[in-house]
Amino acid sequence: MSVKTGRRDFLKGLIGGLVAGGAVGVAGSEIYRSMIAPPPPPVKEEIPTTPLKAGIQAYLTGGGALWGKPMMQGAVLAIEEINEHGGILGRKINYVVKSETGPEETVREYRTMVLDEKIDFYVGLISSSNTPAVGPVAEELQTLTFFVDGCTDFLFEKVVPDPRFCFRITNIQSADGTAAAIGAIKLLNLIEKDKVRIAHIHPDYAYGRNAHAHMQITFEKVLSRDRVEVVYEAFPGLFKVTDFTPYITEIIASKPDILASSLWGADVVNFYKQALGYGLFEKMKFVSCIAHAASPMEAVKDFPDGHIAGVHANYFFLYPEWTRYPINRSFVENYYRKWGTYPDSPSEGAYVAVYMYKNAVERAYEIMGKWPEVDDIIKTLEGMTIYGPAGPVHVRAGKPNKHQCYKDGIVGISKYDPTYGFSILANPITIPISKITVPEGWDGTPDPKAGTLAYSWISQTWREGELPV
Amino acid sequence: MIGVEEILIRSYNIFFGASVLFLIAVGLNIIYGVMKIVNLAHPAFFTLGCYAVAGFGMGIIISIFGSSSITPILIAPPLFAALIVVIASLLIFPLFLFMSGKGDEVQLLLTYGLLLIFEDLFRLIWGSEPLRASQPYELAGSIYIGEYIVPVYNIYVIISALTVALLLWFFLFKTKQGVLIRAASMDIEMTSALGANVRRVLLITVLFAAFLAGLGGGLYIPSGSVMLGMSVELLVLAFVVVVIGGLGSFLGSLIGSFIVSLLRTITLIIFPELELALIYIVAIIILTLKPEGLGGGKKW
Amino acid sequence: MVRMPGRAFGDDIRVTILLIIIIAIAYPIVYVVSPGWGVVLGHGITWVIALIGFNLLFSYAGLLSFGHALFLGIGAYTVGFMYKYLAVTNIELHLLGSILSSAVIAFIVGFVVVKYTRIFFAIFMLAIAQIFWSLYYKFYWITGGTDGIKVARFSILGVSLENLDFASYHHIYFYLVTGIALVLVYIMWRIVNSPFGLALKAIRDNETRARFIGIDVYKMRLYAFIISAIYASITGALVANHHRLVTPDIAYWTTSGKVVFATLLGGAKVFIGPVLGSFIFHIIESFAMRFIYWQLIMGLLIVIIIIVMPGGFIQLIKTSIERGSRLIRR
Repeated sequence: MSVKTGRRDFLKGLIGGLVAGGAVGVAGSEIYRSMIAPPPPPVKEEIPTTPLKAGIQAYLTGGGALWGKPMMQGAVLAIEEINEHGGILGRKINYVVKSETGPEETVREYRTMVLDEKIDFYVGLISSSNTPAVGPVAEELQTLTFFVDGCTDFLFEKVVPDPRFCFRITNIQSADGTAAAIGAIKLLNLIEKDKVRIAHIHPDYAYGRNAHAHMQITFEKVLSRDRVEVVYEAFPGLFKVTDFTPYITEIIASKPDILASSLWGADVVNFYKQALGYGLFEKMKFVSCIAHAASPMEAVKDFPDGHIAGVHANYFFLYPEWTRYPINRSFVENYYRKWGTYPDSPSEGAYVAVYMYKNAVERAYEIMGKWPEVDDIIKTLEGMTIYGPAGPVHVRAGKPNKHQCYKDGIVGISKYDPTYGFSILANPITIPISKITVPEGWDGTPDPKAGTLAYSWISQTWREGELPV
Repeated sequence: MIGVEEILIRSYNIFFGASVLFLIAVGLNIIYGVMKIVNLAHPAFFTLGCYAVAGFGMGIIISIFGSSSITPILIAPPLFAALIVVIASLLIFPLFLFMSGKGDEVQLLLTYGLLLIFEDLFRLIWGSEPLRASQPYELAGSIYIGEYIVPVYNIYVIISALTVALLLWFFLFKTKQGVLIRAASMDIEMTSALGANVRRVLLITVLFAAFLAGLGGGLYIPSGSVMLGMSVELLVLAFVVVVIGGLGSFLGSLIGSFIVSLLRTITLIIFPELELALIYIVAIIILTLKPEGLGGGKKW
Repeated sequence: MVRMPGRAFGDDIRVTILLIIIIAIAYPIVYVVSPGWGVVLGHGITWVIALIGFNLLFSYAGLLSFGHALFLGIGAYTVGFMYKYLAVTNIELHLLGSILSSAVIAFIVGFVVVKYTRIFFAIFMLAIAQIFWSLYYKFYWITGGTDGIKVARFSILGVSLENLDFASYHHIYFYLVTGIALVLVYIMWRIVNSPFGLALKAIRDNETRARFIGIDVYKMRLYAFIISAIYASITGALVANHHRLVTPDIAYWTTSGKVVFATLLGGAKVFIGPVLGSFIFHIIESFAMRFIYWQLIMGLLIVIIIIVMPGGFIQLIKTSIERGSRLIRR
C-alpha cells in the first residue's frame, strides 16, 4: 500500500463516517423524540353552537297534577343547572312544556312537539296508559325519548320489545307492587301470622291491575298460598271517584288484616282522608305502594302513622341519607330553593333523565370527536350507570326490558315528622332491584292473565314460603 | 255480613250519597220544571260551591270564628258557598233569559259551552290540584255504631238535605210564591196573562237552583275534595238521577237520588265491575217503561 | 230550523265537492310547511264523514243525539278487535266490518230509541253511549281498558304500509280518506234529495201532518238513524287507523259534544256546513290546545256562536258575501 492513497482514503472514510454518523444521529434522535412525545390530538369537528331543544310532557291538570308538576319541575331544574354551567358541550338547552292527558291527546301533543317544535330529546309521561301509546310513535318518528314513569311492563315486553329511541327512567311497574308487598311482609312481620286476610283497592287501569297482580302473587309466594285469603277487591276508575265511602265501608266490613292499594294522586288523598273518619286505619294496616311518592307536602300531610309507605319503588327525598350521599343533599337543597317544595319520585326521575342525556352526549363526544348522532348517544346509554340523587341507576342494554332503567327500591313506615309538617317515610328498608325483577337474558314468556314477564318469573322461580331478599 | 249494624252502615252511606245527589238534582229539575231549560252546566254550580269554600271560604270562616267552634264551622261554609254561587248565577242570568223559549239544541249547546267555560275558570283561578276543606269533617269527629266507626259529619249532611227538602216542599206546595212558580212551569204564557212578572219568576228560579247547588257543594266539600273534571262526572250522574226520577219532578229528585245511591252501593258489594254500566242500564229501562220517570207523571 | 229557499251555494253539491278538492290540493303544501298542520287536515277530512251523517239526523230528521260517540266507538273498536283477534289490517275489511257492526247495533238501538224525540232522545242516546263506554272501560282484558288496543298500519289492497316513513304513510292515508269522503258526501247528497230525504224534512217540519199524509214516521227516522250511525262508524274506523290506538275516549260523551259542536260551527242548516265545520273545528282545536285553557276557548266560542251566529260559519260567509256584493253594486 502506498502512502499517497492513504490520505485520500482517510478523508473518504472521515467524511463517510461523519455523514453516516450524522444520518444515524439525526434519524436516531427523531426516533427517540417520537417515542417519548405525546401523540398528536385527534381531529375534533366543530360543535354546533345552536341551542338544543327539550320537549317536556307532564300532567298539569286534574288528578295526576300531583305527579306531573314535580316531574316538570325536576326536568326544568336539571336544564337550568346545566345551562348555568355552560350547557352541554357549550350548547344551551331550550325547552317546551306540553300537557299529558289521555292517550289520544297525549300522542297528538307528542307528535306536534316532534314535528313542529323539532325537539332534540323528550322527557315526560307519568301514566301507564300513555307510554304504550307514545312509545311506537317515538320509534316511528325517531326521537330520543326518556319516559320518566308510565312504568307498565307492557311497554318493553309487548309494545316496543326492541326499542331504539325509547328509554324509561323509573323502576318497572311490577317492581312496585312486589317491593311494597315484601316491605309489608318484613315490616309488619307477616310471616309470623297463621293467616293473612287481604283486601285490595286499585285504580282500574294498567297500573292498578299490575300492582294488584304483583302484590298478590308476592304475598302468595312468600307467605304460602294457603295462608293468604283475599276478602275484598275493588277497582274504582282512575280520578273518577270523589266519594270513596261506599268502598270504605265494604272494606271495613270484610275485616281484612291489610289493605293493599295502588291508589295515587288525588285518589289516594281522597281515600285516606275519608277513611280516617271511618277509623279504617285502626282496623287494618294500609299497604300503599305509592302514596308517599309524589308531592308529600300536599298529598300526605296528615297521613296516619304506622302504615306501609311506598314510593313507587323509587325515591324519597330523605334517602340515601344526606350526610353519606352529597348528590342527594345538593339535589334536595337546589330543588327546594327553586321550587319551595321537596323533590319526590317524579322530580328525581325527570332530573336524572336530563342528566342521563347530558352524560351520554358528553361520553359519546369523547369517543367520536364530534357532536354525536342519535345512534351514538343510544349506544352510549345502553349499559350505562349514572349516579342520581336516588343512587346508582343502570340502563339495561339487552332483553328482556331493554332500555329499562334499574335502581334499588325503598319501602318504609309512615310517620308524621314535625320538622317537615307532613308524613315521611321512616324506617326505610332497601329492596335490591335485582332480586325482584326479571334478570337480563331470562327467556320466559309473559303470564297470560297478568300479562307480565315478572309474574311468570316470580311464579316459576321463587320458592314458596321464602323471602327472596 | 247482614247484621243490623252492617245494614245501618250501608244505609248511612246510601243516604249520604243520596243527599248530595238530591241537592244537585233538585236544582236541575227546578230550572227545567219552570223554564224548560236543560242546564248542562248545573253541576258546575255545585263544583263552584266546593271551590268557593275550599279555595278561600274556609280560610275566611276560620279566621272569623276560630278553628274550634263547631257550630259556625258547620253552618257557615254551605251558606257561604250558596252565596257565591248565587252571585255567579246573577252574572250569567242574561244567558238564561236568552235561552228560555229557544229550541232544545240551543239550550243544550249553550249550557254545554258554559260547562266548559266553568271548568277552565276553575283551573284558572284555583289551579289544578285537588282542594280540601276538611275542618268541619274532622271537628265533628266519629261515633261508634256497634263496632263500626262512622264520621258524624255525614249525618249533618243528611239532616241538612232533608231539611232543605222539607222547606222546599213547603215552599212549592204551600206558599203563594211557590204556587206561582209551579203554575209558571205548566204554562208560561198563561201565567204572564194572569199578571205575574214572568221575568221575575225566571230570575227567582235560577237563583233558587243556584242556591241549592251551591249549598250542596258547601255541604259536601268537607267530606271529600274538589278537583277538575268533577262537574263533568257529576253531570252524568245527575242526569241519571233526573231520568229515573223524572225530569222536572221534585218528588222525582228524591226518588232518583235515593235509587241511584242505592244502586251504586249494591253494585259495589256484588258486582263492582258493573258499577258504572248498571246505573245507565237502569236509566234506560226506566226511560223505556216509564219515560216520565218514577216521580209519577206530569209535574212536580 | 227554517231552510233558505233556492239553491244557495251552501246547498250546492258542486261547491261542497270543490271545497274538499281545494283542501286536498292544499294538503301537500301545508304538510311541507308544517307536518303538524298536515295531520290536522287529516283529522278534518276524517271527521267530515261522521259530521255529514250526524247532520242527516239532526237537521233533516230533526233528532239531536248527544250520544253519537256510540257509533264512533263501534267503528273504532271493530277495527281494534279485527286487528287484535283476527290480525286483519286490510282497510277494506275494516270499513266493511265497521259498516256491518254499526248497522246491526243501530238497528237494535234505534228500534227502541227512535220512538222518542227531543230531549228524551238526546238523553237516551247519552245513556246508551255511556253504557258502551263503561263496558269498554271495565272489560279491560278484551278492550285493553284505558290503555286501549294498538293497531298496526293498515294495508291497501293487500299492500302493507309498514315500511314507509311517516310522511308517505300519512299522505296515503289522507288521500284514501279524501276519496272515501267524496264518495260518501255524494251519496249523502243523493239521499237528502231523494223522496226519502224529502219525507224526512216533512217529518221534521210537521210530524203530525207528515203522519197524516201517510209517511211512516217511525220507519223513516229509523233509516236515518241507521245511516247516520254507519257514517259515524266509518269515521271511527278511520280514526282507529289514523291514531293507531283505540281507547274508550272515543266513546265518551265529550266526543258526542264535539260532533254536535263542530256541525253547528260550520252551519247545520246547509249541506256544506258539516264539511266546513270539520276543518274549522280541528284547526281551532289545534290552536286552542296550544294554550292550556282550551276548554275555555271552546266554551266561549260555543256560546258566542249560539248567540250571535246560529247559522255557523256558513252564515258568516253568506253575510260577508252579501255585504260585499252590496258594496260593489254601489
